[in-house]
Amino acid sequence: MRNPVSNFHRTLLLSAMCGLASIASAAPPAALPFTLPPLVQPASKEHHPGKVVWADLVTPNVPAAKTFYGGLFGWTFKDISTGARDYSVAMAGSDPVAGIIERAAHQGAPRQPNWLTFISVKDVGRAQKVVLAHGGKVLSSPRNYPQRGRQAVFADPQGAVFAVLQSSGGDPRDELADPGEWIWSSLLSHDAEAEAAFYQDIFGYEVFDPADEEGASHLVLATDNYARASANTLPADAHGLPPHWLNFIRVLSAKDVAAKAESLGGRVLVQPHPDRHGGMTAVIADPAGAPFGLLEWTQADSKEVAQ
Amino acid sequence: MKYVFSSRLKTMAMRGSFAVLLVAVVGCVASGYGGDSYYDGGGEVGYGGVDVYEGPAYDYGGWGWGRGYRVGPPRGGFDRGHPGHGGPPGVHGGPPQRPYHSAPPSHSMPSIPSGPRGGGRGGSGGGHPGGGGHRP
Repeated sequence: MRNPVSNFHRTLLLSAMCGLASIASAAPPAALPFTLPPLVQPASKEHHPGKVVWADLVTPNVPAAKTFYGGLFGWTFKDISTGARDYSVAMAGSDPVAGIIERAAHQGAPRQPNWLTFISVKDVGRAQKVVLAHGGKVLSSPRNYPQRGRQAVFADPQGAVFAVLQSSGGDPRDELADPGEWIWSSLLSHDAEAEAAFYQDIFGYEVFDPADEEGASHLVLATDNYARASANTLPADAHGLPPHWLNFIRVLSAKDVAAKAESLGGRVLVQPHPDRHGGMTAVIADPAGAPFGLLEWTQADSKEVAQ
Repeated sequence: MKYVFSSRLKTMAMRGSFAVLLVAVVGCVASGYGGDSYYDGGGEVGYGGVDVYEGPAYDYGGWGWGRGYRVGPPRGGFDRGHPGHGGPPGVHGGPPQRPYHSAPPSHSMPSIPSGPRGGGRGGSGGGHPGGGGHRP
């Protein structure tokens, strides 16, 4: 009796199965789909260009960061498998507020962990063109992440690193941040005015120059009739600070949270002190050295404009 | 009859083999073998580009942050003062030349969103006098 499946086809079938098996076993784990959660759920379908909508912490020790930020702000965490390194989404209540990604620290390298600031943009591709046309650099080309949107990482002309995000489901609504959530961001650089011009071209900011500031420039960047960030010129004697973005988390008492941060292994870089709005601000370094700010804000600080 | 059955079986086996091969090729491409393939990013696999360290290590001490160095948000209705405050005078004594475009003088400085969570529209974020604001 003749075998309906010839030796040739049997070999073909076998080789194909072997091919599949080898791909499955040899494929690097990093090739797993990397799925970030949406910025907001359900989708807001609102877009607020110029608004800081996300932050990612790059740190050598994700478990230590979880312990610190969880203890300080009550954040909980959802781990996402990248196959290659740890990534965790920090939740404030049911809202995702930040990402924490692991990266080993290199001995001797004068670099440090930091928070990466994501600013909402309408069109990542256009933003990249503007960045390049005005002396910035592209650190990571635009890429799509299902559910999250399209994002890219840039450095401004003075070297401050920031990311832009064109969210697919919309940005967080313009509401008062709860304690434990990001409430404000400041760009610290050597020339706030030049920086304001650069970011204005990207995000369409209205730039305001407060009247009561003395000496160095402290500008306020606004869109949608909301203040989004400040651009500040560093004093001449602030030699140790390269241009960078600093994000602030809303707290009810900067003094109490600063003390708690120290008990959790952090350091107070700038002691709590009154700021422009009348509340206290402070700057903290987490145990790995990543700086972030604390900012007190009460409803009384939100003063309605007399119309 | 036996021949016809055998022939059909042979055809099915051949098709099956090619189908498996096709799956293998597609799987190869999709898994990143042989080319750029991570969504549409190309090249990198994972959460590329975000994992940048900054530095050198920051030193916030020693220059007196806290003594008048203000980075916080303004409250609604915060005084803007004079356009171009504090800068060098411009050409012919006009307003100082800035690299950025200042907000129109008719716009008061806004504050941050301050509406309650889940409150829909809102926020006493400031606004432009004359109702010119456009809150979301």
